[in-house]
Amino acid sequence: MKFSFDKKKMTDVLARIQGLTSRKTNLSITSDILVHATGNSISITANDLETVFHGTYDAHVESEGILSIHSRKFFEIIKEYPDEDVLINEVENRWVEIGKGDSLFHIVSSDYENFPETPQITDVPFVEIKAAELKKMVDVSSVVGFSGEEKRIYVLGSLLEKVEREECLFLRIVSTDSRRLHCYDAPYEGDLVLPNESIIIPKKGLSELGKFISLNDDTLKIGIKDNHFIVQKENESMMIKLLEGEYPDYKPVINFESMVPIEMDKTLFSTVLKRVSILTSEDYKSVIFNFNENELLVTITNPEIGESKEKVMIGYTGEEVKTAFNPKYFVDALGVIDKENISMYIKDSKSPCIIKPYDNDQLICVIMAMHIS
Amino acid sequence: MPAIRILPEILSNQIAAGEVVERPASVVKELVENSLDAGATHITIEVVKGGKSLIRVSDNGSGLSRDDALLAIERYATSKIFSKEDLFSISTMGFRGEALPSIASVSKFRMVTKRGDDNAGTLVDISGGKLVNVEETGAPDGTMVEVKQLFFNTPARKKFLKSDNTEISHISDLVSGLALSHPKIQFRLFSNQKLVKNFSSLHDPFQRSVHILGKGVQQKLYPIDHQNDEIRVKGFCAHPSFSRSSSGRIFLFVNHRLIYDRGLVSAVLRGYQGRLMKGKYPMVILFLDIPFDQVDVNVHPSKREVKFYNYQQVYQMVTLGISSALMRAQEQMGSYSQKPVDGVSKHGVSQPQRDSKPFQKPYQEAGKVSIRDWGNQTLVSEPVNTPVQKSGFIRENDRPGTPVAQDRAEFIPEKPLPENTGKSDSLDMTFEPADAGISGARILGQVMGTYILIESVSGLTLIDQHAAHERIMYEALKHRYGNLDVISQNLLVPETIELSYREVDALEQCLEELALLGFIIEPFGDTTFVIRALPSMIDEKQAGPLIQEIIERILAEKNRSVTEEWLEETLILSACHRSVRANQSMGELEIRQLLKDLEGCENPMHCPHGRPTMIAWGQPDLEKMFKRQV
Ligand SMILES: Nc1ncnc2c1ncn2[C@@H]1O[C@H](COP(=O)(O)OP(=O)(O)O)[C@@H](O)[C@H]1O
Ligand SMILES: [Mg+2]
Repeated sequence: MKFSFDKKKMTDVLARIQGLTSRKTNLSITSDILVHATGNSISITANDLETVFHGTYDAHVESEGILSIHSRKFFEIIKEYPDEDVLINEVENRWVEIGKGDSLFHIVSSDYENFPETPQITDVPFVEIKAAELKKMVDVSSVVGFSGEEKRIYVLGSLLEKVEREECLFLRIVSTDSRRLHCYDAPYEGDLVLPNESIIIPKKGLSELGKFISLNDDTLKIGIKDNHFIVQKENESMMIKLLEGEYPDYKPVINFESMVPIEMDKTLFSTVLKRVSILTSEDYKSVIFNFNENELLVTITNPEIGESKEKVMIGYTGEEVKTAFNPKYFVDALGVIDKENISMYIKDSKSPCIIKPYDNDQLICVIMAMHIS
Repeated sequence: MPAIRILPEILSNQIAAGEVVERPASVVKELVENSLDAGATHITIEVVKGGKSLIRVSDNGSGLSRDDALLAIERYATSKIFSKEDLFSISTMGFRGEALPSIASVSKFRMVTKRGDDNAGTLVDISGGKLVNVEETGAPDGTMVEVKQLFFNTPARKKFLKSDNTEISHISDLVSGLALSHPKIQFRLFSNQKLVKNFSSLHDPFQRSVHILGKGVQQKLYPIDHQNDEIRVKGFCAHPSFSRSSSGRIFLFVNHRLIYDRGLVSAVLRGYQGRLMKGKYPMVILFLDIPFDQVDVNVHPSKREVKFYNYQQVYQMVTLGISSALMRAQEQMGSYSQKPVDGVSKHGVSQPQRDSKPFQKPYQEAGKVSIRDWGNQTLVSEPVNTPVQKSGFIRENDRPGTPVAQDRAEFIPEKPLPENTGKSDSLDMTFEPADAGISGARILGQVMGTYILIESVSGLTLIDQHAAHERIMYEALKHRYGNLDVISQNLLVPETIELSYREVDALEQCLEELALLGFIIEPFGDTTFVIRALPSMIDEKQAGPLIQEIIERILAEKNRSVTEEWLEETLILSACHRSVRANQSMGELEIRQLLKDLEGCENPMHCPHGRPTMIAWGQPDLEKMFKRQV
C-alpha cells in the first residue's frame, strides 16, 4: 500500500478525532485509526466502540491497501512533517514508512483485522438540520456533564425527542445531572422517524460530535437507525451508539406555568453571579437568593472565607421568597443563552428556578434548589 | 474466707444453669479462679495431654477444713455469695458453687487441702461424681486439685475435645489472661512435665504484657489510662503495625476477669481508627474497672461474657482510652514511625549511640560523600523564597528559628518506655514529652515521584506523599465539617431505593439523623424509599448505593451512629479525591508545607484508610542492616 496526501488537510481531520481515539476502552486498538486507500481517495475510521467516525478524502493512491496505525503518533508525525505532501508506504509486513528523503519514520502498525467493525447502517431516514442548531444542541446539553464513576443512564446521556410546539415540530435535546436540566428545541427539515424507545445519546459521543460540526457546514443530515444516532456530512459521518434505558419524565420540571416570571438582564445577572461565586468553595457552594418587592438580594456566607452581598433591582411583586442555589449552574445556564433579556421563574423556597430567553421557549434551564440548615 | 453455705433455692434458680465444663481450659479456669479466691500467691498448673489425661492445680491459698472440703463438692455449695444483693455485686471470681461438683462428676477427681492452722490436711476422692474416699493426710498449706481422665464417663463429650495442641493452646491463653490480670501472683504452667509459662511474681504489668504479646512489641507498647468517676480503663496497646487478622491478641478484663465482648472489641478497633487497615486487629491488653452493680457477668455459664448496663459509656471510655494512648505515643513521632526491629536491645530500649565513635557527628561526617551531593550545591545559598523546581534539590532548612538537623551533633535519643514503674500492681505509665517533629527535618528530596525522603531526629524517614496529604485533607475536612452549615441539594430525578424489611427498620430509625446530614429521604410505600435531596458535598454521586451501604454497616455494627459512619465515609472519600497523587512531582516548598501540615495533624502517622504515612529507620536500625551492630 502506498499513497500520499495533503498535510494540512489531514492534520485538521486527525486533530478532530484525537479525543475519540484517546478514550480508554478494553481494546487497545481503539487508539488506532484505520486508513483505507482505494481508487483516488483514502478513508479514515476511528472507533471507540461507542462512537464511530468515518471520513473520505482525496489522496494520491499508488497502490491500494488497509492499515491500522496509532492515531496520536500518526497525528503528531503528520503535524510536524516538514513538507506539504506526505507519503505513506507500507514497506513490509505492517512496517509503515512515513515521509521520504530527509525526514523518514518507520512505524509499526497493528493488524487491521483486529480493528473494531464499523456498523453497517443503510437507508437511514435522514432529516436536515442547520449546523449551528446542531452545535447549539450539543453545547447546551454538554455543559451538564457527569463525573467519572457515574452509572445513571439519564446522567450519562442526553435525551433526544420530537416535540410539537406552537404547531411547529422541533428536535429536542434534554440533559440533566439531577441538579439541573437543560432543554433545547431545534428546528429541522424533513420527516423525522424515531423509534418508540427513548433515544439517549451518550454525552461522551456528543462532545465528540461537537468537534465534528464545523460552522462552515451549512446543513447536516441526522437520523436514528439500528440503535445509532447518525450525523452525516458530504464526505464524513459520525455514528453514536445509543444508551439503553429509561429517561425520567422531565416534562413536569420544565413547566413554568404556575411560577412567577421575573425579567432580567442577562449580563448584569451573570456578573452578579460571578462575583458571589468567588466566595464559594468545594465544600460550600450555595448562595442565598432573597426575592423581595422589586429587589433581589444575593448573599453568601462562607464561614471559611467570608461573605458578600449583591442587590439587584428586579420587577418582582410577589411575596418574599428565600431560596438557595449553586451559582455555578446559573452561570452555566446564562452562558448558553444568547439573548440579552431573560426570564427567571420562581415559586417558593423549595422549588426549582427556571430561566429561559425572555421572548421564546426554545431553551429552558431548570436549576434545583438547595437548602441550608 | 467465710465458711461454706448452701445457696438458697431461689438464688440457685437465678443462676443460669449450664455447662461449666466444656473443655480442659474451662476446668483450669475454674480451679485457678478458686485458688485466686482463696488468696493464693503461687499457683502451679500442670497438664498432661492437653489436660485430657491430667489437670492439676496447686496453690498456697487458705485451704479448707475437712467439713468445708466435703461441702465444697456439693452442688451449689459456695463460700462466696450469700444474698440476692450479693449476686448482683460479685467481686470474687467464683460464685456459683457449681464448678467443683460439676468437674468431679465427669472425671476422676481428687482434692488435697490444708489450712495453715490445721495439723493435718484432708484428701477427698471422687469418681464420676461418687465420693469414694475421704481421709486425713499430710499436706502443705493450701489446696491441690487433680482432675484425671476428664469426661471418662461421658464419651459423647470426650469426642468433642480437640487435639492436645489445641487444648493446650487454649489453656495457655487462659493462663496468660489470668496472669495479666493478677500481676502480683506467680503462675507456672507445665505441659507434659515441661515448664511452658512462667510468670514470675517479680513482673510488673508492662513486663507481663510484653511476655504475653511477644518481645517484638516491647518498644511499641503504649500504656492506656483513662478514667471518669466510675470507670477506669487501663492496660497497654501495641503499635498498629503489630496487627493481626483475628482478635486473638486482644485481652479484655472486666474487674480482673478475662472476658470476651464483641462490643468491646469494636470499641478497641474504633480507638485504633484511622491507624489500622480494614479487617486487621491490634494487640491490646485492656483492664476495665467498673462498679460491680453496672455489669452483669452472669449471662454465660463459662463466665466469659458480660453485660454492661450502660454499654455506650463503657465503649466510649475504651475507645477514648485507646485513642488517647496512641495519640500520646504518636507525639514521639520518631519512635512511633520506626519500623519495628525485633530484639534490637534486650530491654527494648534502643539506646542512643552517644559515644559510639564512628557516629559521633554523623551528618557532618557524611557530608562529603553523602546523598547531599545529589543536589546542586549552589542552591544552598539561594534565598528562602525562591522555590526550587529542579528535582533532587538539597537545601538546608533555612528558616530562622527552626532547628537544623545538621547542627545537632548528636541524636536526641528516642525516649524509651519506662521499664519499671516501681509499684508492681499499678499499670500506670507516664510518658516523656514529645520528640522534635518532622517539620524541621532536612529534606533530601522526592524519590520515585511518590515518596519524600527526609532526615529527621528519628533518622531516615520515607513519607508517602499521597497518604500524608490524604491525612492532612481528611483532618482539615473533618475540622471544617464542624463549622459549616449542612447544605443539601434537591434532586431533579429523585432516586428510589428498595430495601429489605430489616433495612427498612434500620433506615426508619435514622431518617431524622440523615436529614440533619442533608439527606432528605421519604418513604415511598412498602419497602421503597425515595431520596429527594443529598448533602451538597457529595451531590455528584449516586446516592442509592451509598445509603444502602450506610444501612448495611449500621446493621452490622449496632453501636455506631449514622453520623459517624457517614462522616468517616465521605470525609475519607473526598480527602482521597483532593490529595496529591503518587507520581506527582513536588517542589521543596510544597514538601516543607506538607511536613508542617502533617505534623499539625491529630493523627499524622496514618492515612485515613489506616495505611502508614511514614516509615523511619533510626540509627540502630541502619546499623543493624549494615551489620555494624549485631
Ligand atoms: N483452691 C481452693 N482453695 C480454697 N477453697 C476452695 C478452693 N477451691 C474451692 N474452694 C472452696 O470450694 C467452694 C466451691 O467451689 P466452686 O465449686 O468452684 O464454687 P465457687 O467457686 O463458685 O464458690 C468455694 O466456694 C471455696 O470455698
Ligand atoms: Mg469456683
